[in-house]
Amino acid sequence: MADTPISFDRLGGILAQIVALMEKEVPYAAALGLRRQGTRVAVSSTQSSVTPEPATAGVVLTAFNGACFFEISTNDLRASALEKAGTDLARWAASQRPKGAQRELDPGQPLKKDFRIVAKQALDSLDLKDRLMRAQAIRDALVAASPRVRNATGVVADLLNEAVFINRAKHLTQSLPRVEELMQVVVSDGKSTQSLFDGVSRGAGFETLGHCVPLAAQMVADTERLLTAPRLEPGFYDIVTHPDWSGILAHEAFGHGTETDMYLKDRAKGKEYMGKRVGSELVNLMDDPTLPGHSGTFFFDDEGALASPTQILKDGVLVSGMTDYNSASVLGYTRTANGRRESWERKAYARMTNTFFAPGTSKPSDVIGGVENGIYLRYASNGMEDPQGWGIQCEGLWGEEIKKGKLTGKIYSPVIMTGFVPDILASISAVGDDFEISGTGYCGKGHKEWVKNTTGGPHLRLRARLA
Amino acid sequence: MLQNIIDILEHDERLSGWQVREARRKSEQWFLNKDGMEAKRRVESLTWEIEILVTRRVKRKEASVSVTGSARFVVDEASIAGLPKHLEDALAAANLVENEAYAMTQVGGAVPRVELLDPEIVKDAGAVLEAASEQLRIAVVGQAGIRLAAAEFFVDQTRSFYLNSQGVEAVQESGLLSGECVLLAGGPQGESEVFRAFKRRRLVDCSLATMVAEAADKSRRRLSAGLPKTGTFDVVFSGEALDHFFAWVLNQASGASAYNRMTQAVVGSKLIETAPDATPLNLWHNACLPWAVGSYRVDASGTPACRRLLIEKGALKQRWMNDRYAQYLKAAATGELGTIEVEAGTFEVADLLRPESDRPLYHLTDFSYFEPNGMTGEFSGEIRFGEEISKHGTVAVKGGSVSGLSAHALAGARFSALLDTRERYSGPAYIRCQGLTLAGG
Repeated sequence: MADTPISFDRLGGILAQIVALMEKEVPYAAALGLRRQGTRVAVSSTQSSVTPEPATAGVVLTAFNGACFFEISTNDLRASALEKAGTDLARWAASQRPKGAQRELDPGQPLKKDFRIVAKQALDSLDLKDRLMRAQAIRDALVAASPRVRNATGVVADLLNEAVFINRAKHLTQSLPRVEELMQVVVSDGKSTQSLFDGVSRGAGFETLGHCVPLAAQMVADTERLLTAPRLEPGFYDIVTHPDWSGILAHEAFGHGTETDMYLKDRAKGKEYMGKRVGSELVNLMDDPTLPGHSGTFFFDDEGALASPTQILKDGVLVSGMTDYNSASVLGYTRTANGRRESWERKAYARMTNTFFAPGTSKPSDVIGGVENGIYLRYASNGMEDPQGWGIQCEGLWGEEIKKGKLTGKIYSPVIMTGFVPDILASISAVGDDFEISGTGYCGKGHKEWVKNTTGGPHLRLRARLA
Repeated sequence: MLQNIIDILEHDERLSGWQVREARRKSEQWFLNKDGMEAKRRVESLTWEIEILVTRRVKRKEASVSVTGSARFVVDEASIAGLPKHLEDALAAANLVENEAYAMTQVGGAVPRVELLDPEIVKDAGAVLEAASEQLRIAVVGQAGIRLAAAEFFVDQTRSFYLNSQGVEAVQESGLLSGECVLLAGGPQGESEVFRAFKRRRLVDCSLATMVAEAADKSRRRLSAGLPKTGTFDVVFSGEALDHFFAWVLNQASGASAYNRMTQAVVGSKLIETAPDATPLNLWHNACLPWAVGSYRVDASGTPACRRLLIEKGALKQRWMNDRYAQYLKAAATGELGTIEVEAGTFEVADLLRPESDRPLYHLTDFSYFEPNGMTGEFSGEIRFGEEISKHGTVAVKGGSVSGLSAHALAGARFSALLDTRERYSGPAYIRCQGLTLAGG
């Protein structure tokens, strides 16, 4: 029989054999296969692209020698190549096995299961021409909204991520469809140029589509208002955050700060504050990879832990972190399903999934209504964490003046929020009963290791430094 | 396998052009956690990146015009057997697209010999990692009151072979040593962290001991740092603040941005109205700089590396662009953006760091994130480390933010004579800007 690559669907069998082989040399071994395929269609005012992405796959073999993880990653899926990689890896790990006390890794409860998100409209239900027309419709809706539009782009993309995880207890597979619909507009008045971006990304099928066109005209109008928007006078303000800003705040404030691999390196103050109050009693923060339909959703993480919700802050008290296999093992924490990789070529770290502030009890209009003089923040663009110093930076493109509980229509742009995380969370004085999740972003660990996750929450009222 | 792919592409008469890049990658990765090793990884991959063009005539407003559709896809060893089907899918995709016509890059100037692969990495990548981690360990041990929280080292080797339907052929072998380290300084009020990421083609260029000494100093000084004042102040940028400092200028000088209407700048026009006492901006794209991370022999479209003046005395002299946008804009292709070279100024560092009035001056080096908006030039960044310099002395600051507009900041900017070479930046080590907004205490 020719030594040809093994099809991804049949990888589980050979990987199970290789794991068993490796565990003759090391106390714990595992294997992960990842495959992705999709198509991206983009139509702008100047050009179009239809990019089919054929299925590509790779395998990570893991050997733990009692102290340290060793891994070999390859996209050579021939049985002989995988077996050789497993043998080499086991020998490599065993050769550096430490003397003395060693850690045991719990492989988890025995489970053999195939998981699958079933899309209402499957990824093969729209042909390329239909997708192109959908993207064109978004572009056309943006262009039609104003003569000041210089470029408009509509994007329709689908992706199928598949995984197989094997250790001595588990044989798991998952199939995760994702569909994105995005829009971006560039407007100019001849003197200045501004741009806004919006969209939706869901762990679902083509039923996701239809988000952008109804919102296109409003987004163009909002972008035009940025053309003449001044910058805000720096200072402390009473603030109401739109759910997109609440999400960035959740992610940067206590998302990264409770990734427990950062605890292990003494890089997160959160370690010292477990069980202590770090925010207003109105604050509840969650990370939930089981949230149905979102693009940070999965059934098991890249280290085989089954997905379940994690409450990070409960009534303002830090109650749990998010773990990867290594940090949970060293710190003795309950394992949560947050061991995630950028790709089969990269290491697993503790990473967020769907991270959000839980809704409260106030109507959003009351959240705004409670502000005498302040700023309403929308169109969040990015943020950066500092878990060790508990500093935070969140940026966005829209700050609207609030006077006597009403939006005045006066816009400032761009806006940056900075501050000390516990001060900001302690200042939260109202939490909306609404809830939105945004899935269009990616998250890095420091400045690399990009993974898909979502952020969100309700409207929040708080106080922080803006500029 | 590569020859099989070329045979299939060459004999498909439906294609008006194609390119293929075979990339063989190897990576060794080490992850240090405090004094111990958390993980070691080895990665190997082989992929073929294929792009096809289909140029045809279509009717538009009673006229027949040439249009090009393209499709780019990647196949690996597992999916290469399905190449005929992938090619059909790509053709179907390309035939749906009607972009302005263009062709694959033609054979042009000679492909320069640019040094990209350190023989030490070829000889033993593991030994390079060993040496790097030892250098780091020794450097940290030499710093009082400082400890290593974590470090990562990656040694990557890539051998790629580029070939297209116009006859362009190039082999490129490159290496990269990248990583990050986190240092903690202890004090009565707790600990303070400084994070450093680095990327170079040779270990010798990483200057790990210098990096650790500088980061250790900042870690210690952060322990007692306070907020900057709120108001308008002169600000000197240095260090990592310079990595993306020219992002707005580069977007204005981009051929892709011009074609996609993201900029209104016109070649020959002034981007920056330089004030009389400021340094005029002269900026080059350079993809030939030996051992530079931004260097290459040919870019992803097969354009040979070159060095070109983009900004001369604040005016847009030439755009940087790949071959496709060069055809669209009827300009010369420069290839993808390489290292940004900025001409040094004439100012001594000591003069730049001297307040000129009773108002303090801020010297800012570390931010949570600092990159001006490429379209508007607006920038903001949370300050991780800086200094407030006044007639009363120098104190460390952290927290708060600095904001401004690139065009205004550069108009009054004064550049140091002292140069700094960073990952993709080679230019003045200190840049002083006037009247930026700080939000602090």
